[in-house]
Amino acid sequence: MIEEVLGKLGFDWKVALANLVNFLVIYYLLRNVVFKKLGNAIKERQERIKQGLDDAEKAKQSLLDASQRKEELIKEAYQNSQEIIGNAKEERNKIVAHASEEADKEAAKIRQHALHEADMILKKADEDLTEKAATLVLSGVEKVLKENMTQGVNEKYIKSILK
Amino acid sequence: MQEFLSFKRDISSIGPSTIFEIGGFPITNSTLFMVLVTILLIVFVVVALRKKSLIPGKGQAFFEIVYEAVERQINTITASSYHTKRVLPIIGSIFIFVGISNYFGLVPGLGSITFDGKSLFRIATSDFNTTLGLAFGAIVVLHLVSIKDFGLWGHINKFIPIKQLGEDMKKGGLAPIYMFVTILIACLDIVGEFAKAVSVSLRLFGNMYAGDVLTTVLIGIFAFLLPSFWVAFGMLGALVQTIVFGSLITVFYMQAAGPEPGEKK
Repeated sequence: MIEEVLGKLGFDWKVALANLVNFLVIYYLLRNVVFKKLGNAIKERQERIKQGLDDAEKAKQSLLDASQRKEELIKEAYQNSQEIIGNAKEERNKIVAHASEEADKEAAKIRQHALHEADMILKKADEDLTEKAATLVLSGVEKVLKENMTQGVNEKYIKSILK
Repeated sequence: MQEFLSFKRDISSIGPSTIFEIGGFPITNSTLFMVLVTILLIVFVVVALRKKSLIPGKGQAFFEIVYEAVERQINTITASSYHTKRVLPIIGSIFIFVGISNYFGLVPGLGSITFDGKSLFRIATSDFNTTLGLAFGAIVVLHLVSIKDFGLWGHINKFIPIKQLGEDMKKGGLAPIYMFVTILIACLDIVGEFAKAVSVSLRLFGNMYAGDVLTTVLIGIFAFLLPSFWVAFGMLGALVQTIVFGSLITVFYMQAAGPEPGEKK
């Protein structure tokens, strides 16, 4: 009965077997060439894409880290520069103070020296003046004495001096 | 006028026509169609995949689209990458073969090539021999998968729980009745296994053959314009039948296969 029904549908086991064998040829071809090759190609591509995405993610993270690092460095550099400027100002003030002190000392020294020099010059000038005045008086006296002094006048002077 | 507008053609017989015989084996027009499909597929595969590259060419891209579509369809049913990977070559081949056959049937003029008054090519899927052969072959493979996964004893026990029946018989009571019902159900299950093959093959065959017959009838009524709507609809039908046939075989596989390695039975 089954054979009759199948026969009405044109079933012939030999044809079915032949067609199945034909399908097996197609299956063999597809399995070994298409599915295996394509499966590997797609898998390889997926891995490459995944790797690429991972790398991109890492690069993005690195960029973010670098950006953060840059910000930190800028902040640190600013702080360092502020510190350096502060130190420089302090140093400058110290140097200026020191220089000022030195200058004052030097000025005092120079003034002291100048005063001393002036004193010496004054003293010398005084001595010279005294000496010249004495010389001038002596020469004047000598001249007067040469011209006016007689025996009687001389004695008169000597007597007045001795008095 | 009517003769010009319509084209009378004999409705193809339900069975294939034998073109010639080799050693007692009839070579039918559906077999020749399969040979033609195989040759075209080989040529296409060789040309498209000759230079497999990471950046695919047009041919490789086409095959990749088909591959991924089939893989996705199978994965939707199996919901397991293990089972998808395992079953992809066989069920993927069925998908591709049935799909190509169905779509080739829409190629105009293919049925008009005759030899000795018989059509030289007949859509393979509109031949019950092909669909039943495919379905039966697939069912046999699925039983082998089940035997591999559960062992021969486990596979037999899926139909008749012999160990359980033995234990029940020892307890007595209603056990003989339970045993009778179980054996009856087992017989139905065995018949059901054949019915699976017959049902999926008849569904595909019926749809494709009916499509062929309807095209012939429509051409007989009005050869211009009218059949084009049917052919357009046939493109959708061809796709649906391909998906239905392949999906059903996948469902049968999931019923037959064991759990994934590492998964609890």
